[in-house]
Amino acid sequence: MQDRSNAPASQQESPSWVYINGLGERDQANVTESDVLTAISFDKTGEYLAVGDKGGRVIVFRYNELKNSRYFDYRYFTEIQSHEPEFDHLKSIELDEKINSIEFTNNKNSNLQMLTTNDRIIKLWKIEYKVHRQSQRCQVKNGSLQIPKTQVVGEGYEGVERKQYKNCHNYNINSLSMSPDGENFLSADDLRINLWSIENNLLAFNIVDLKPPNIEELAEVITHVEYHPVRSDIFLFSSSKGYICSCDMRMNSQFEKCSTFYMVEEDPSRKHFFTDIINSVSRAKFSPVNDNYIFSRDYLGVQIWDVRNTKMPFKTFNATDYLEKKLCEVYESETIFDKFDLQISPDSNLVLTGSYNSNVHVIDIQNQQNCTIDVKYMDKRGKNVGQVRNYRGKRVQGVLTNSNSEPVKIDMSQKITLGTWHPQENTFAVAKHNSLFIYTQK
Amino acid sequence: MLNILNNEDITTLDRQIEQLMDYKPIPEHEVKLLCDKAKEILQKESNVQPVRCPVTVCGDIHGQFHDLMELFRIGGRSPDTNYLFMGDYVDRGYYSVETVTLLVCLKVRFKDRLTILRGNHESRQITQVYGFYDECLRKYGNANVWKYFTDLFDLLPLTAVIEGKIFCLHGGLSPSLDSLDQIKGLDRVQEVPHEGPMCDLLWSDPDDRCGWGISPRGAGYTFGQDISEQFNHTNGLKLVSRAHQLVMNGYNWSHDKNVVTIFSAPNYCYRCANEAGIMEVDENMNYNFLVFDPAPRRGEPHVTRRTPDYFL
Amino acid sequence: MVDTKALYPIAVLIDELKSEDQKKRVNSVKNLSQIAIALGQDRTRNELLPYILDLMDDEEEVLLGLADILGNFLDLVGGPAHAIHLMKPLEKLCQVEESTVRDKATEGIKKILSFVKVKDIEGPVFDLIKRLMNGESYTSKFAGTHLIPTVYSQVSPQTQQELMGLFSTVSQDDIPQVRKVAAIVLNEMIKLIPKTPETELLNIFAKFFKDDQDSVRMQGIDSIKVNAYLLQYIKKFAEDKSWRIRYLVADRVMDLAQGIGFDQAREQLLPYYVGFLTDSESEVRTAAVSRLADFCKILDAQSVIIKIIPCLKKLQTDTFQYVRSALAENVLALCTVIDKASTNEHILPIFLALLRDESSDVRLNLFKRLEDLNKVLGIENLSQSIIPALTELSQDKNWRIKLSVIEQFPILARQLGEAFFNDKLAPICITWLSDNIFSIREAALTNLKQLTEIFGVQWASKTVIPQLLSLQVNSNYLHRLTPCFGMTQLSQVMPSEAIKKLFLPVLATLGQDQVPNIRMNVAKCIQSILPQAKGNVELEDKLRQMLNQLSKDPDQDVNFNRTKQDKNWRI
Repeated sequence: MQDRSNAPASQQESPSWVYINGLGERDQANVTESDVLTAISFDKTGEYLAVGDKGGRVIVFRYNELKNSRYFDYRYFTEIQSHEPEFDHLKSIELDEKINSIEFTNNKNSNLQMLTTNDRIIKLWKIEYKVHRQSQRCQVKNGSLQIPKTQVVGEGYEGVERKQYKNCHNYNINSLSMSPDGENFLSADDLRINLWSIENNLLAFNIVDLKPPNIEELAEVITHVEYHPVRSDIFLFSSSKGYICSCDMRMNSQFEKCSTFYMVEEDPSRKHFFTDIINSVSRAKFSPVNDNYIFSRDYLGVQIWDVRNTKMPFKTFNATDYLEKKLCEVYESETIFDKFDLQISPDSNLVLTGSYNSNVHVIDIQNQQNCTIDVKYMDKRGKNVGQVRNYRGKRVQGVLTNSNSEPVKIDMSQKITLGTWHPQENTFAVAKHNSLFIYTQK
Repeated sequence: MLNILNNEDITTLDRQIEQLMDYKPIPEHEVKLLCDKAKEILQKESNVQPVRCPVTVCGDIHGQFHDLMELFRIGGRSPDTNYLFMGDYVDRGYYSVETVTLLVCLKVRFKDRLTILRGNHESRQITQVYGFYDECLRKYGNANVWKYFTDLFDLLPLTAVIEGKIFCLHGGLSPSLDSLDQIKGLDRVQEVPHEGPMCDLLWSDPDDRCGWGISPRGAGYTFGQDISEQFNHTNGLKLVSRAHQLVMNGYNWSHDKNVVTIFSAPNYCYRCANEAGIMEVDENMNYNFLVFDPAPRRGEPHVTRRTPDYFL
Repeated sequence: MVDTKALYPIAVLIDELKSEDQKKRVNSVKNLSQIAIALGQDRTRNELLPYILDLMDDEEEVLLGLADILGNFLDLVGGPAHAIHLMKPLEKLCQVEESTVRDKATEGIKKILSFVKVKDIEGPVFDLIKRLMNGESYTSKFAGTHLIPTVYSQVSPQTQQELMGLFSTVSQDDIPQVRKVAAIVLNEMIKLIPKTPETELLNIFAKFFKDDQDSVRMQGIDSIKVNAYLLQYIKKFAEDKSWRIRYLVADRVMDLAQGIGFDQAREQLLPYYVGFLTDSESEVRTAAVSRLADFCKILDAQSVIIKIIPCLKKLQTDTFQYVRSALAENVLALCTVIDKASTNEHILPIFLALLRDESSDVRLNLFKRLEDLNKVLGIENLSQSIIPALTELSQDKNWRIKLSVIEQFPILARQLGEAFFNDKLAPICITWLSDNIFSIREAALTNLKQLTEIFGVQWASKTVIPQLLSLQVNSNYLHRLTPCFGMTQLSQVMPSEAIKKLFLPVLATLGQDQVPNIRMNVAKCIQSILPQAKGNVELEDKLRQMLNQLSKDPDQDVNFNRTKQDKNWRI
């Protein structure tokens, strides 16, 4: 395996982050439940950024260069009503329009295309520049046909639905992942993972099936599936049981017993009531530059695995250290089941993950630092954000402090679970309730 | 009797039947003409339509067109085999339009070889919730075809009786109806009401408990063995044959063989794993049940465990 | 003077090209040639084609129709001299997102070029390819790449060089799908230049072979077999870490064997083939087993016994049913390669084991090549084992399995001969006639017809027809229908005298049946027999009399059939 990194060696000094822009309705009085963001994704070039919401909408923003500024921003580009509430006639269930995942399929030099999904139906959308024309009626004059004149009555970027991939998932779809060669994609629901050819919406290849013969014996669910960043034959998925499973499609055609599991063998004497719950992996990713590393997120923090050791992560970084003493409390309130996203910088040195209290953490692996950013609307682009703390061992030092060095009270209701990292640059976006915030490295 | 079909009609119908067999719905204007013809035929039929044996009796189909084709593979083609369908042609499955159009085409083409009764899903209200309406919109771009068919549904007979002995209907008995004559007196040409005798015929279910009971469905009643025995006795019947309920083995006896339930949609809703059944009644009134599994599907999305071509 | 009236429907078609209703647009596009004919060649080129350029952002179905029709439009724009006019809309269609449309448009361009002397328009064609290859959207590269081998051998050496340059660039594109298309096209390119060690192409191939993506690498398999310089790669492919690559070698092993010659294949491919039979991946094992019959034919008996058969013994208990199915279908072919003693020693045990397989599919497949075993061992030695197995399959509870067994029977009849068939298999055929599944009864009749063709009418009249006709007295009308359908089928292969003697009395009886469905089918049957009766005056007269009688039937469906023969719709 090789290091694919072309990125510059990371700097010694800690990164400082600046606010780029916040998008969305600021007045919470005008925000409805359907405006809450549920999916967020950069396209493969970084020029576009899309969010999906509970109302089934997908809103696309486009990179915008600013004159007389060293910064840029993202601006509204177009919007699609991707999914509508539906009634599944076969199963007699209401199907919400909520967007669970957005995955761009475009390469550079191609039309903008994306897969979007709600609980059951995956759709392929293309964004196209449409010219609407109106034609006069065709006349017959002097025994001759007159080809009618047309005039343009409107034009602009629009979403066009190309395909639907449906009826092949019996449980709620949680993630989609496009193969790097652009031919196939994976879709995962709670119990199964299907492989699709993007061109064939009639035949899904079920490659992982965790459904026990007796559904009452159900002990785990799939939380996320993701392809390797460059290899179209390797993917991984994460499980609520606390493991990451890496699958190599070169080795086998089906994945029953043949995959590599990454899982901590917990010392039984140290196990407690909450161990299994907080070990649930909400998200895992291959390192974008080095085949030897896999990153994962569980309830309390981030782990980095060396693929040569499947029994123990080689580094761990706490993100929500303050929760360790409050597990009873978060269990009671069920927040212990929250799933936080994990994003990695293109050079693989920085990890973004969500948290409570409107915070997100950017963990600097090389420098063992945690930069906690308070996500909120700011009045000025380019403003510094974040508070950097050093890891001691694998823990950060207690909770954040305010300007008077008093510990900040943690608001558990203000959680940020979704984020996306620009494919080439140190720019990321996170979703907070109905709003989208973009940050970049100074 | 004067025949309402001329040679041109027959050519058209045969073409339509062939086209439907190929899973292609017929155009909207043809549906309209078809329904007009079907109305002429159905309005002459009785609320208790007399049917001669031999005949093959079938239960719910629910838009599972592949499985209707399988039913013909098992029971024989129409019109060579006589058929009696006990309602619920539409909703749930993906091919309600093709299913109901084909059955109506066959009815018009061979009215004496095929009897179609009304099920509780042959209604404006129910089809707006359970799929037929949406399917018409999707396949025709407007609701006209849905309107033609639901208007036609109002004319479908409610019940049939084979040689005076086997009483066939979709749901079950009604506390307001003791005799076949009372059923004959109903004004059936209307949307299925929410209550009352006509509603009960299409909604009721047999039950292990005696007497009449409140139906968990919110319409119709449950009726016990005492009720069916009494009804059969009063009307000189041998058997009540009905559909309406999913039964795992395609058919199911109840009430000490006074009632039989027949369900002809295998793997109902594509997930119930039930077998489908039909009942062949021969010319001596002997009956024989055939059960069958779902037909192989083509053109429908499905999941495979074998590596598909696109991955090889 | 032009008939103005005739133009109005054309005007409607033109309007409908831009109708709101997609169905109308599709229909109008389908009838584009009518519009073109009405406009004439000049106006089609100058007015219609530019007009339809506006349609290029339409939905897939409309564009697909357009791509299809434009490929056949050459005559309507004035023939080969004006071919280039069609290129513009087709070029646009080559760039859309939908692969179906692109493929159709590329096909259209190829078709047009096949009617044109490419030399005459070399410049514009090269420019077209170049534009596509350098197109803004990467999808247009697909079409451009596909067009290169179409024109390559018809253009000047200089253009050839430029095309090769474009091809070389595209083969290194950083989008894998583009490289994949280049790898597919390379197979055609290599065929164009088969004799020389065309280094450029070989270099490109070498690069593909090292590609990150299996989907690119695997395309090379088709190049290997046509160019001797690439044979070294067989080994690399066969030993690949990725099972999909090994699968391809196993699947195409006969192509490769032909490519390198059978002598070479015996030596070089056999070790790999043996490896595939025991591969860790079931799909590779299946592919290898599926080639068993052909591959073993190029081997000597000794190699088959020593190298191949030991692997098969393991496969007979493979955990994957589809591996065993493939084995059952192919294993008997080996009998013809090895001698009788070896067949007895090696193949018979496998055959007997598979005959007891839990899957009826596996058992069924054994009968597809029973002839090979029969030729070597003789049917007498086999009947004890196969008759119980066949009987069991003939009663399988899955009617589709039964159906497949019936479909095997005419083949078995040919293989096993009349005497054996009469004794052991004819009773099974008769049982099927009374099956309670309609499709089985129907297939049983087709079987009888085919058996009659094989063993002759004499045989049929003695062995099966009486049994069929005896069903006329069955108490169930569905079973009395069977002789009706059967007479229709059999009359196609029987002389009129036999029809008269055997069928006429039955038709007379059934024509009076109390159930109208029977009378209706007697009428249908008579109609289908009538053409066979031509020349046999007595038979024809009798049949017409009966038909005439039936036309007065009180049941309208019986009556209808006199004038109207309904098609037996497929189900």
